[in-house]
Amino acid sequence: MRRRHFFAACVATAVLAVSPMLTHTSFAQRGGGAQGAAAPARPAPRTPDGKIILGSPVGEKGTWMAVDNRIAIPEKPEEFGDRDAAANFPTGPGAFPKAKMSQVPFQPWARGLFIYRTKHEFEPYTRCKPAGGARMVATAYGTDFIDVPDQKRIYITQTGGPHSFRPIYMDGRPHPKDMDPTYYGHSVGHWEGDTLVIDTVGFNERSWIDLRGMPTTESLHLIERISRPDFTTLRYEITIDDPEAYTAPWTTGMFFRWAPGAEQFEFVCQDGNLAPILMIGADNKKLDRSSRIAP
Amino acid sequence: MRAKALCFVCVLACFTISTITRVAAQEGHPLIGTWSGDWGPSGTERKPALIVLEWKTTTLSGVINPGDADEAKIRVGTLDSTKWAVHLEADSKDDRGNPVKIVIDGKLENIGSFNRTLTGTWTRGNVKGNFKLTRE
Repeated sequence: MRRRHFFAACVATAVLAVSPMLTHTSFAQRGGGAQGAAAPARPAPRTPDGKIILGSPVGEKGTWMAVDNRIAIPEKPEEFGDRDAAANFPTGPGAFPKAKMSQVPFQPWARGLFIYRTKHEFEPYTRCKPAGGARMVATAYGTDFIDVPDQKRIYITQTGGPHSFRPIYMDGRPHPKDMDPTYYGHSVGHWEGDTLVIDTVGFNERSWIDLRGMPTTESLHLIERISRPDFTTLRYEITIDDPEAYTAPWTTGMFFRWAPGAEQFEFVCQDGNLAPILMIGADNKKLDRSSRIAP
Repeated sequence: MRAKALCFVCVLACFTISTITRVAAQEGHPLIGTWSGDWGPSGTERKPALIVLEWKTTTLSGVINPGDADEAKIRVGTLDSTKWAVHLEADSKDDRGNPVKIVIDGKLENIGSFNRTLTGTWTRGNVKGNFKLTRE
């Protein structure tokens, strides 16, 4: 069983490793320009009543893989994590116009904590803890969106990490007035044209909203804007508003690439967790492991 | 006998679960919470110390020894996150009711851990000592 999981993890890692290159090429082709030979992109699927389908259309298999799951681009040496060096992230006009680290309006303590987390890389997600916001969507091994119109809910389901889901309430309800903070918070959504807009509050401070550990507090308010400009591309934009950690709201995001034929599978994070090997490296001596936090 | 053993196992299990949960926690502002420990001018002359700290937008505030006779509201609180250096000032009163200034300068360590620590110097009036606090 462990061997099977290891094989699946290796395949997924390989897909993650090459997807930036594939995506970069694809976006560059779509740009057209002087060559103009690229075939038009397959349009996004729609329901009979014309609504965009964010997940798998009937009769097709597929799942979403993040192209570059960082929400800010490091610039200074102390901002580069171990995973930045290993990845081949897309650049140029086809890449998502995400924030550079110098554009993140950190409060001083938040920047200090971010640098600390970059140095230690004890990401809770890789140790099976739920992670909200962008990390919930940009999960390992694929993400799916399940629209249940009868319930007026959309579920975002993730394969990796805690293998969990987040309900987006589409019935017009407000956020509860008194709620216990949770890892995913409370999400309500609505459509603005073809864009799903999700408003989330009620986060606890235990999870990271991205894989790098952007600090957040219980005052965090997230706005996610998700659209599918064509069949194989998902655009994910996120606005982070947390006055306890940042001096102003800021917006960033990422693209996702459709992985046709792939489907979500049972993933038990606690069962032979390979995160230390796959994501950090068991023999990596560069990381500072002096913190006493238990992985 | 069996009931006692079962009770012991249950208590042990609860303690273990709560410890694991707390140790694995990752949180927002690293100073928020309740800090307990002691301070004193020497290794033998120690007093218990409790500090509750809050963070609101850009202000660090809190109370030293809440509920005690020498309870003191923190008047100045700063965190230098380049060195994780903490500076706190508060106004308290001595046994006779005279005003006494408290100045605390400490260094935050093991920030990724729920049970992070704060150590440094603690000055109360003309008494200077050291302290160690652990986040509860």
